[in-house]
Amino acid sequence: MNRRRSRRLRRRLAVIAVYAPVLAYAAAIIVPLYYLLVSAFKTNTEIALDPLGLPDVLNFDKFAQANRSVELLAASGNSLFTALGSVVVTIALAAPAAHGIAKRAGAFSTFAQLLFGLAFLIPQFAVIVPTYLLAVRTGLIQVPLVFLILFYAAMNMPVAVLLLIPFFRAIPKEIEESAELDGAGALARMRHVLMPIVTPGLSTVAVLCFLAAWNEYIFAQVMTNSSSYTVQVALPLLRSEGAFQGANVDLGRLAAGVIISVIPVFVMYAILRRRLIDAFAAGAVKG
Amino acid sequence: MAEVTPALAWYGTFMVLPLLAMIVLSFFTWNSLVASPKPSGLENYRYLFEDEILRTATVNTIAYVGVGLALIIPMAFLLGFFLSRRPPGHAILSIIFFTPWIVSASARAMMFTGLYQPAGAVNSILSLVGLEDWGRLWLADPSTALWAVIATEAWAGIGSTAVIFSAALGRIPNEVYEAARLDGAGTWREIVSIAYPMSKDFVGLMTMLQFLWLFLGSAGTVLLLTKGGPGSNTMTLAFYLYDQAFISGRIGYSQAIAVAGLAVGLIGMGIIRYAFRTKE
Repeated sequence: MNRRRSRRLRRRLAVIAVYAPVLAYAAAIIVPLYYLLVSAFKTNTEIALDPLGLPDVLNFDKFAQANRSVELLAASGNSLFTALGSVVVTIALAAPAAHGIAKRAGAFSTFAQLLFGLAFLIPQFAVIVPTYLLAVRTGLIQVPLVFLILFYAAMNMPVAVLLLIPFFRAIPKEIEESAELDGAGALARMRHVLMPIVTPGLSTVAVLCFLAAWNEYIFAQVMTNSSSYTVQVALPLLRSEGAFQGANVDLGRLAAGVIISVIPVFVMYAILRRRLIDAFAAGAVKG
Repeated sequence: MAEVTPALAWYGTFMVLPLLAMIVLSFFTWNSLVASPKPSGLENYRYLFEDEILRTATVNTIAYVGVGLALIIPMAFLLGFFLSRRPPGHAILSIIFFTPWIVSASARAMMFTGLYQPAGAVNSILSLVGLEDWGRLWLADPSTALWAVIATEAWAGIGSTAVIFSAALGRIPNEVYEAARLDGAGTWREIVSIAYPMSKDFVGLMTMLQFLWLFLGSAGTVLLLTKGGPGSNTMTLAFYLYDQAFISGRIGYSQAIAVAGLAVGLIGMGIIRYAFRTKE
């Protein structure tokens, strides 16, 4: 009797010992995000006096201020344009490549797949200077957002191809052959027969590529200027230079800016969370 | 072949050609875009060995990546194992832990700027529990700046890596654990003798990716949080490359740093590969 009770106590202690650090870390993620969210609706005095309390009224002044001082909405528009554009280019090139690799077994296919796998390990950042010089030499630096579209497409190419290969491999040969017998050309087969079947794969890849492009910071920082800032480049401008020497910032305004910049990705995450994680895990496995 | 070539060519134009250009440029002295580059042989490489800041940056990078990986990989693996066993609440916990991955580097840095600032949450919490003396300018204090930056990486890295680990560990069939339990294995044994050995390759791969993210991502994180300061306390190799190319305008020299960084990166990847080798 006594022994059973002590065993139960031990098990309960074990559960607490496991859950305590897990929940502490979960709190370390949630509390700062919550702090940011409520701060965006408060005055800076309210933030200082009652950091975690809910705001008394939903005050959108800080959002308006954040937008006015660094034109965050215009910058979000630039980001949206760049991210969508790069997704289109990525898919247009990656889908045929994945199809080619999936359907034609041979030395070239194996080699191409290996190259894209290795490409995972070529760090983009290492080539930031030559990439900048490429933009200058081709004159594309005059249209930074177009250059970013082309560049992000290249940056996302390996992961897009690798993720799409298994989707194309899963299509039975017969489907494509019968379309071929019906006289459909390669392009028509891709558009009307294959694309609809691999839509789940395409949408996952599209979302991953969109997120990567939307969130990219350092290349956008180097390429864009004040008339073409993306949202990631405009956001840090909300903080004064003095902050680097330890001055306080207008936290409410900064928080409002952060929220504007993360809304699109949170919406996508809410819709496609499961698929994203699976895709990421699978992509990482195959890399 | 016609289908695959455009994608390969696209990638090559933006990634492989620049890599070659980087190596060529490292042999030139080129201090302004409007000037023309002058060949200077090994001059840039010679200077690498004299450059005090580069030495600091190398030491900081090793600390940044080493401490980052030591924090992220083991904790993420344990957390991933925990989640993969589908304990009560695992679904909501997975959502929470993956959230930092979708927050951009820029948004994360702004959030931490708010937390670390003089009147920010970290100092408020410390004074709330009676530890005002510990309060400080976390990002401007030489003794804490580098660690404060690394903490932002761990904050984001542990959770997202854990969720990816749990997706991979979830593929281990339950029967394997049941059999082990019949043999009297406890949870710790399950982790050490089943979960880890069965996913060693995957852990190695994630370590490699995390290594690259920390090593190169430090450029953006440092630029956003500290710009290498105070002094050069948070200078890392990746940020120093950025600094030399785009702030100090020494384009040729920055490419010698890039080549050196590439060498350090390859050595790091070799070490990780060796550490996670599986016996054939």
